Amino acid sequence: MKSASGTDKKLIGLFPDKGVLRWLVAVISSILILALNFFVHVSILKFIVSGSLQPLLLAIVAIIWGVVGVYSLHHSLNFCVSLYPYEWSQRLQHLIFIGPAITLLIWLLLLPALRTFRLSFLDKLGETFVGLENYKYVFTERTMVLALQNTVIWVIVGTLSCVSLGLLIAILADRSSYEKIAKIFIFMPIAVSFVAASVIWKFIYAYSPTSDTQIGLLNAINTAMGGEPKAWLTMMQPWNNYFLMAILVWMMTGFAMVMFSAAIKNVPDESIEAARVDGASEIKIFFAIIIPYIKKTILAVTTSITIFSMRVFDAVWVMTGGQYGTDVIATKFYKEYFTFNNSGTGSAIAMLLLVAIIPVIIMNINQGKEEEY
Amino acid sequence: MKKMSSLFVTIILLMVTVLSGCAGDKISEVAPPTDEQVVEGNGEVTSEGTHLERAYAGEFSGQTVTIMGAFGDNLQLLFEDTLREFNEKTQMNVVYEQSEDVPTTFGIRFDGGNAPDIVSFPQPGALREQVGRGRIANIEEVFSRDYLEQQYGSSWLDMTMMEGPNGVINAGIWQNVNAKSFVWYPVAEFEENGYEIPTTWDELIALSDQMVEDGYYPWTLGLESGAATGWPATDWIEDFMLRVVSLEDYDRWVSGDLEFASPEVKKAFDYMEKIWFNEDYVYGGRVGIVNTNFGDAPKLMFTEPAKALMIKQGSFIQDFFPDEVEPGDYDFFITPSIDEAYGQPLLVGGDTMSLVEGQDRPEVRAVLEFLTTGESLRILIENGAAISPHQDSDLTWYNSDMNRKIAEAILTADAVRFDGSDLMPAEVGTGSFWTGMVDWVAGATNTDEALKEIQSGFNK
Repeated sequence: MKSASGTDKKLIGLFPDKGVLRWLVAVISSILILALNFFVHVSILKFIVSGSLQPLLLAIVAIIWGVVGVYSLHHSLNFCVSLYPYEWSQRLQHLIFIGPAITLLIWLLLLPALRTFRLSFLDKLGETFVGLENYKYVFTERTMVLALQNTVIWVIVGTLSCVSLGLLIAILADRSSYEKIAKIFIFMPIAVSFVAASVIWKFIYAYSPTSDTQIGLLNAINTAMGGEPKAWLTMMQPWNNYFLMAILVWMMTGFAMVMFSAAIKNVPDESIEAARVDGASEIKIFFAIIIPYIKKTILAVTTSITIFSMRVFDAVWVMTGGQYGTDVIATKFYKEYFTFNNSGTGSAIAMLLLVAIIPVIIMNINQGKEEEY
Repeated sequence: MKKMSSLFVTIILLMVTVLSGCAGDKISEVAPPTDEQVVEGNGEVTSEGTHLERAYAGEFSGQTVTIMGAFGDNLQLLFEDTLREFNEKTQMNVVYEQSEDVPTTFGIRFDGGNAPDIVSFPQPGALREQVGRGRIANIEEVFSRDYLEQQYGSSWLDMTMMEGPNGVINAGIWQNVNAKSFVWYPVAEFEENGYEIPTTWDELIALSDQMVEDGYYPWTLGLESGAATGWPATDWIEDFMLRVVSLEDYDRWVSGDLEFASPEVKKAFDYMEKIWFNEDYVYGGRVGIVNTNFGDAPKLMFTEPAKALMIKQGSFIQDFFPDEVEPGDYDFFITPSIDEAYGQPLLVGGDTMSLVEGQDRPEVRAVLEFLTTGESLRILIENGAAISPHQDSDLTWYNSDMNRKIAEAILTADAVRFDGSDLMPAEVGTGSFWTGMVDWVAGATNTDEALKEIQSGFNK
């Protein structure tokens, strides 16, 4: 801000303060500088993409371009803004900082979303208009309906299990003398990528015919206790969906637990002690004091895990490839769009997922806003 | 200070202007040299002879050519050995990129302007889809028909003629081919028990019953194959289709005109069911089939004692046999005929190599030319990992009588047809056909439901 007004003072000597001339100079030079910036950076980008440099040299040029480019962009724009009369340069100042971010958001987020929206009304190859055909397919075709059902189950069962288990563990750990160790063990799985976790769980669920040695943990335990080995992920429909959800619960419970644990520690001891003095039972204290205090955290955690389970893909893809009735929206989307090359139905599924997630995201963001106060 | 900042801005602006000037020059410099252009290296003119000869002369030294394909594991290692040898001779940098899901990865890369130069499709159906989208160049613009007919039997060439946006093109050349109608068995157990090779369905069933009586499971089957789970079952259906309907009906079935729900197709399912759903015939029963990886299934024939004695699979399955098993320890017979009228046709498949649209450069042509020669498969053949369709490949390369026998079987079959699921639209061939078979074997649907479900893929 300082430098802007500094330049401003200097320019007062050069141009009449509020004259037409000053506006003219400001507007023309802004347009020129913007166009020059655009041209320069597009040229550099084209040069880099053309691949005529050695890889190492290319990396150095790219880094220099990144640093110097941003620096020069900022300064040249700042210079433009300083040419305007004082109150206008104050207003435009914000744009320098917000502008690039908004441009990128429009380019990388809004435009693709609009394109997907358009594609969802076109045919397989994205050429002719088919109206609501793709949406009709999404909501009526048997495997699609199954995928939608599964996703709903994932969201409800997965989220509820994570939140309730996380809360339970947080409460219990809070009163345990092994709090740290217990929390470390439960939090650890979140550091594992979903694909790696799925591979681990594939071994847990592995099946071999009855007469063979069971290499799967679950079946080894099962047969040791005299049971028959079971094909958990394939033949046990629809329960195999819940076995897949176990991976989500295993991973996300730690996240929920850490959030709740921090929130519980913020509950004032005075309130709890006062309740105890008044003779309230521990269960009563939990529901009447702790829950209301951490209500906002519960909502935030719930929405985060809801979003996570709505777009679950890796676990299903690695474990079953969506076969045996385990397809969810994301795997279905992948198959339609990429395997079958059907951009119409694929885009319709993507739009559905987007529309379903938006309200949850809004809830999540609003939650964050309130928490600041 | 004030002066400094405006000076700084001026310098920056000047700098970027100069830079952009340079950039413009560079761009025009990298325009690809045309084929006719005489490229001079070390002052000598070298653009004589075919592209491959020019490559061996070192003309394309340092140039990079990328090949994308689906084959992995052992095949990938052997193919990379081949490329290493080629690179040493030509000083080129030919790279193979393996992708589990070539049609998907290739589509994304092509749209992103980052396409490989040559793409290898394991499924002609997937290739046809890419040809329809204009992503594949016409190979006959690179090689004359005469040259191709000299390298391949003409029936192979006919099978890559595909419909593109600008008419029918020849979409690629054949590389590693295979036949799938083989039943593999361990020789020792067969000799010990005096089993005879069946040539008809009744003999096959009688043999299976005999094996059950002798305390063996006749068959080992595996359906699991990651995201491609289900394909081994489609091969069975195709083989049985070739044995219960005429070749014309088979073609109609592949193109979707003969519906899955028709009695002819159901007949093939009924025959398959007699083996697959018989808990005495299959090791592990239906649960075992569904949970066994296709590559693990053959291992059961070589355990001590053998747990199962027969597996119907393509010639490539030998790669999945245990390391200590030698070609003499096992043998194969062609899947017996069901209806005498149709004999024992052979189901064949193979990898194609296609030139990607927009990548027609001299060094890419050189690599393509290399791929049209048997030499490009020699290392794989010597390791028993490939059967060559090339006319100039040498039968003495085959490391075993086995592979020579397979190569001969392919040449002398009653009839040859492509893997049907590979030719069907992706919605069926890699979609509803796989899922339908999986659900059927897992018992989630009955035969009629499964047939209806698979057929629905055609209507998407």
